[in-house]
Amino acid sequence: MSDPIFTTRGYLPADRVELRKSVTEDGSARYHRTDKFDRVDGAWVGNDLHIELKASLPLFGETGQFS
Amino acid sequence: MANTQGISGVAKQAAMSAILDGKTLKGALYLVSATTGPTNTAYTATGEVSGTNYSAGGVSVTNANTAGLTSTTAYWTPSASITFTTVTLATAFDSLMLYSTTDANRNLGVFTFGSQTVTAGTLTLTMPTNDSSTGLVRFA
Repeated sequence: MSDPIFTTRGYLPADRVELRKSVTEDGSARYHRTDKFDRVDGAWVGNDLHIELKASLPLFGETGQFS
Repeated sequence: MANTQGISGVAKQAAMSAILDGKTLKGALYLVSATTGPTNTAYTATGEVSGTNYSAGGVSVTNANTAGLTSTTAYWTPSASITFTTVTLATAFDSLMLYSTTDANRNLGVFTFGSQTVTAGTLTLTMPTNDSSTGLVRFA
């Protein structure tokens, strides 16, 4: 049996919640969004979000010149 | 063979190691409307998100990696995903500040991404591969 799923209606049984997944992407990250719907009435009851970070923070070490 | 100018890789690694290795780290989220960035010297509550199950200051960041070095590029990445569990963050946010509680909440860096909201859900930020090309923080 799957674990209950947290929603705006509290924890609901997994078989009561429909999960709809979508993936988008930009230069910074890839976004995996899971929207949750209550099968009882079709209402949207929240979303999970998984962000895969792509962009790092490069710090460039530079040297100056002796005058 | 000619001489070359540049900061040594070991110096870069030592500098990165001094601010990251063994430090207790946290990650805090900021609203799209905030003005947080590299000029912040430390964690600030100004512009931070708020919502159900989100605590001011954010969450702990697992820090089992030490600063690495490949050639003359030093690099470091958190050793696990950063997770905010069962939160509702209804006002759009788009950045995370990584800061060191060991060093008076020193701001280590602000990472931006596309504007997002989360409602009654879990937010997970997965790290890139920890190497000299994709590490989250790199001193090239």
